[in-house]
Amino acid sequence: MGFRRSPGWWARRFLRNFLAWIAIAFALFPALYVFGTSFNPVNNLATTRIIPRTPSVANYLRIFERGLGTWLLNTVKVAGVASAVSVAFCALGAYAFSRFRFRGRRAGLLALMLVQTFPQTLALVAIFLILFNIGRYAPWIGLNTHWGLVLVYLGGSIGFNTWLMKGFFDSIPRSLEESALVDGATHFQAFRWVILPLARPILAVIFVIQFIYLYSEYLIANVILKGREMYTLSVGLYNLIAQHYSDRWGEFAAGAVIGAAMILIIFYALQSQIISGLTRGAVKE
Amino acid sequence: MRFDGLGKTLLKIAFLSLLGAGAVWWAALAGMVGDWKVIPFPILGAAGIAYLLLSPRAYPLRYLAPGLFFLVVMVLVPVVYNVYISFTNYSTGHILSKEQAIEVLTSKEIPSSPPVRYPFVAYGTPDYLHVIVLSTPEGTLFVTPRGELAAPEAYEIIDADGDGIPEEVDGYRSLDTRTFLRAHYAAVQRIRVPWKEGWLRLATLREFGYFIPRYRYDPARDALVDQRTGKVYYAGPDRFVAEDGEALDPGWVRWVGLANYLRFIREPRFHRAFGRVFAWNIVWAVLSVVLSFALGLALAILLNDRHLRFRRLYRSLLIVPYAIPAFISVLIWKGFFNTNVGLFNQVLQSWLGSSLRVPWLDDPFWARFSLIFTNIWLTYPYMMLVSLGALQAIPGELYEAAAIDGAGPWQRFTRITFPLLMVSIAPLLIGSFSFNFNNFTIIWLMTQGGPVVEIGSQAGATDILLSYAYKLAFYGARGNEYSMAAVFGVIVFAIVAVISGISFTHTKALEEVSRGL
Repeated sequence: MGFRRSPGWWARRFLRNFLAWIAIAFALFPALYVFGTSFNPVNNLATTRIIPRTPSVANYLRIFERGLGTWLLNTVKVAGVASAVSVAFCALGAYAFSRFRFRGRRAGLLALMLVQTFPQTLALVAIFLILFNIGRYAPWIGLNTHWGLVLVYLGGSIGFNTWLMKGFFDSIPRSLEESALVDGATHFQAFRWVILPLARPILAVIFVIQFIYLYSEYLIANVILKGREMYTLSVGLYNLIAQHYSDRWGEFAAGAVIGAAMILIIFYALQSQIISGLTRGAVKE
Repeated sequence: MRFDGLGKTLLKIAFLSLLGAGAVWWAALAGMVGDWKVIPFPILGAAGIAYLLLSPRAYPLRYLAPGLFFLVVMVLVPVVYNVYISFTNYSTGHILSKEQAIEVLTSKEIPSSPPVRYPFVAYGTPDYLHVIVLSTPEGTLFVTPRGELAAPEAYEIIDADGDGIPEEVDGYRSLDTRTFLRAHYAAVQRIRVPWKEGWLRLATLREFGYFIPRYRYDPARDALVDQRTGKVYYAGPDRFVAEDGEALDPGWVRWVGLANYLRFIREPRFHRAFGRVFAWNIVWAVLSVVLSFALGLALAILLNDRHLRFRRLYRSLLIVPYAIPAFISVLIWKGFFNTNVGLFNQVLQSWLGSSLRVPWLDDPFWARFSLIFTNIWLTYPYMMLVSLGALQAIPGELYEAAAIDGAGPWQRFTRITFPLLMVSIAPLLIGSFSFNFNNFTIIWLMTQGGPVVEIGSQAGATDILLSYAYKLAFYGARGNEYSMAAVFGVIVFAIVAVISGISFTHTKALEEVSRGL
């Protein structure tokens, strides 16, 4: 820069950076505080310090004894299976909505859009009683089963994901599959060998977004799962800490660090794709 | 990977035959045990799959069916079922059908009078239970580990001292009490051995007892008779009631029409709660959206300055709250807000004196404050991201033209930036309002709807409609009031429908649907 900046320019520049750092401190401090205190052997929130005098991993050992490993496995199993199956089914459905012309298509699309505006928690009582009744005939998908929870999650994710994927499929030019169809491929082959490879990155992002969402789900899991061995991470951590801030803070902090680390890594590795997916789909945390 | 036409057809035929056979088998099985209501499901299911695979007109449906099935079962059916529940008496003690209630009541037991006890000896190893032998005055009984009576001839018995209690059965020695308790007690406890008018079960650590059903069902009178007192309980509308008014639990589910809705209007504990909860529900959603949008927009404007170095780094750090699973953040904030041991009160005390304690989560005002504060922290990154996107879409020439016309920064913001921003952001704000209106995860994790504001009412200071319904259903002070929770569900459903209606008229979503045809 060849010319001199005015003092006002420097002041504004300083102010902007200063405000940005205040905001960043606001954003980061809970995470940093918890990270620091997770290495503090003292378990009480009241006596803990950000930078521990004698760092130790005692809290990490303790939280695994409480069952963190089981909860993490349960969560990954439930969220992973539900997200994977949801993406597979939604890709099929979105392909049909995007490429076929059939009676009821318009009504179907409208219905999908309407359905995804109503949260599943609205009818939680009904879902609970449906699982109760299913469980009387098939106990492995009834109340207090992971597969029952997968069913509920799966149903809840179909409307939103199909709608999102249809938009992406619409943006893939038809000419690509048409040449395959001319060569004698069936529609399913065109879908499987032309569309899916092209859509793979998007399907992966939708899978990840769905996985993160289900990873954090608490309300439905809390109603359906009973018993420490069955808990997902959210239910397990809540029940661990809710009434015990004075005597379990350290181990909770360790659990929070581990529970958040995985999602943070995924999120920042795929930052731009996840953000565009999330903001495109408007509101769904 | 290709099938030729014939192979594919054969495969289809084979698959459908298997499916049909399975469905008929299942239906027959259900018919045999008298479960008539189950029969249509396998038959209709198999017929549906056959139609999908055989009819060319159903071709698009083959792609839609898997997703559609779960959407219907776990989203649409629950909504319809929820409406149905709101017209029934579903609640604690009224969750079974009448037949099931009778089954539960007739399996209640009393000891025979006079009480009969038979000592037993178990045979096996610590890992394996072979047989349990009961000594009764009428002879020795052999009970399998599954609770069935077996014929004595099936066992090879060594009874050297001739006292009627064998030393060995089939080569297995008798287990001492300690080994039995440690290894097999839990399993044997569940055994019910059919015997005479009732059943035998473990009564003490060393004895089985003879028990008879407490109630017997009399189909002619549609009544249950207490075997001890002879008292008769007649079937009422939703439970068995004796003439003196004593009722048996559990009862059963029945249609009650509009009774729940009338209760909602008549009983102060519901409609007063509704008014209070609804008001806070609106405040919660509006403040969450407006304040987090204000913060997000301010940060977006800050970051949108091209002269700012490290913009990308700042952005990445500012969206950390978005990247941490919300339930973890909320539990951390809940710890900070804790009145006794929380970080905030510690800091306040060390700065301002030792007696100062803000009841962050224990006072109605402060609990609401803490919740909205936390929700702003959770939501502003989303608002910042969408605002950044919208800001960057505003053409720079507009600002140049405005600068030439002499508009100051504030005018440029109010006349250009904000109106243009609202075009693309307004629908998202409505969406966010609708989301937060029902977003009770944060509330539930933080305060469970508390603190209490009215003695005797479950609706706390921070309850929103759905969290109050959740409480009624699953944490009820008077049992689980599923049907009243369903009434609240129906009300929220109507509210969400109105909000969605408004948002659809303001978005391009509908046009997108039309264009997509």
